[in-house]
Amino acid sequence: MADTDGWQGWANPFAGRAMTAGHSWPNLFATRGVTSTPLWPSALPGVGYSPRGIVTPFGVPVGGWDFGAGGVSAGELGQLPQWSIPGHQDWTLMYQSSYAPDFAAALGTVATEEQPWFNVGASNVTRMLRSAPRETAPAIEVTAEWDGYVEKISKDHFVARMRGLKGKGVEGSDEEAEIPMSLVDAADLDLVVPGGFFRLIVTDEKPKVGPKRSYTSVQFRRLPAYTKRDLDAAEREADEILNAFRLASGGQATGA
Amino acid sequence: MAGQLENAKVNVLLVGTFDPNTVGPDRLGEAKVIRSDEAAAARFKTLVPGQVTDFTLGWCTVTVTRERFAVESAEPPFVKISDFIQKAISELMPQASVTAMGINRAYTIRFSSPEERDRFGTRLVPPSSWGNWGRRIQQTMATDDDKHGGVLNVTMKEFPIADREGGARHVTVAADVASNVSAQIIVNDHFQAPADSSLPAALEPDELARRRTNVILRALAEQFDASLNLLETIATEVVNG
Repeated sequence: MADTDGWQGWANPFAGRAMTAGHSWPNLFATRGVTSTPLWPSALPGVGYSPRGIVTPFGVPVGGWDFGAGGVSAGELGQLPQWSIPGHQDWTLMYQSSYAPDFAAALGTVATEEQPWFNVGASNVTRMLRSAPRETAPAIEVTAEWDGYVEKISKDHFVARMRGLKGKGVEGSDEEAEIPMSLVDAADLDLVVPGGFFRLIVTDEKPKVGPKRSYTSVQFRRLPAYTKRDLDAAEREADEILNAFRLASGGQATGA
Repeated sequence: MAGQLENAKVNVLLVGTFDPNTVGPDRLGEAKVIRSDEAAAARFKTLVPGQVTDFTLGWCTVTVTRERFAVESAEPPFVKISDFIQKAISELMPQASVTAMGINRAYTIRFSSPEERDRFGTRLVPPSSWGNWGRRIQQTMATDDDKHGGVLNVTMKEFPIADREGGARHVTVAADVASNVSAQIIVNDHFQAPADSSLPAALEPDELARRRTNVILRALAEQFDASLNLLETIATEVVNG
């Protein structure tokens, strides 16, 4: 009996990253049983393919899938049912270690241009899958955040008043800052007007491999266009129901 | 530290009555809720006219059904979620009726080893409190580091909330069935719209719905940042003990 104790597949962090038109990288492939060759045709190296046409991100046969020589697209991946890994069966795992550094570390191997893929024997596949992180996306941490509005605009910068929301020595502090226009995305330049609200954040990005990176970004806010009448009405209603926010203990759950 | 919080995601979920047809990327772009380049690049996952609108914008995923309006993002600043919802509902969905809202943070908890994960799980829910059966589970944890039982899912609820007369916060920690060195934590800040009896009497149903919606949107505008900070603190403290 297959071991299907809820080992669900996990999201492919590279889904949508185009490799060739219309196709994307699954993060790893496994095929059932003895490795068949060729597992992927030369036309699209790296895209899983088996003669049986049953390759999925984790090689679980879902029946009747024939990806031909084209591999599997992100859209096809999204249509696959939740899969599980029958742990007792023989599996051959192939992956590109530059996209899966944790697997590379587990195997003590490093991908090269000549051999970017590893064909792992059936043993340990189950264990590796269980130990593998779900995603290899870099960890992102906001180390400081300010809420601000534009006071004055000049050609290459704008002057802003900001209040610190998050970060050591930042939270609760009021600042005046000159912010270069180069930090504003071109598509948001029409929002840089006196009174325009924005957030300034400092972010640390910690890739699984490689050094930490810090960067600053400005995000202009797209807020509802309230009229004075809206605001007056809201104020009136707020007074009326000041004590009305009686949050029932029941109600429908709103957890993610 | 017991574990490391990674892969932060924020999700805001509104419950009520919505029209999924009114929030397609094109209309959001025209109303400047999103940028025109975002609207052009939006990717639909599901579109069932009148029933479901589900698409990604790069920085977020938007799912709207007749009863749910959810926006999720892993890309800070998360205030974009709050702005998106307020502007979309105020300007494109004036007939929407919102009865409840959840501000949610989710993380992966990364542990250095399966043993560290087990220590975390047994701290939250000691198997020994579950009688002989639980003690047997605890024994297998000590003898088999690869396959053993343990807590799968635990939820703690805070109620009442100090700054409101109701509402609730829930923290759920769930085992990660795909990995023995990680777990998931979801922290939920739940807001419930005022009961009809709390609103001025003799209002028409439409006006009641509008006022309930305004209360929720106002809470979103005013409490979003504070809620997120608090939820992050709660998650950190749950993990660190």
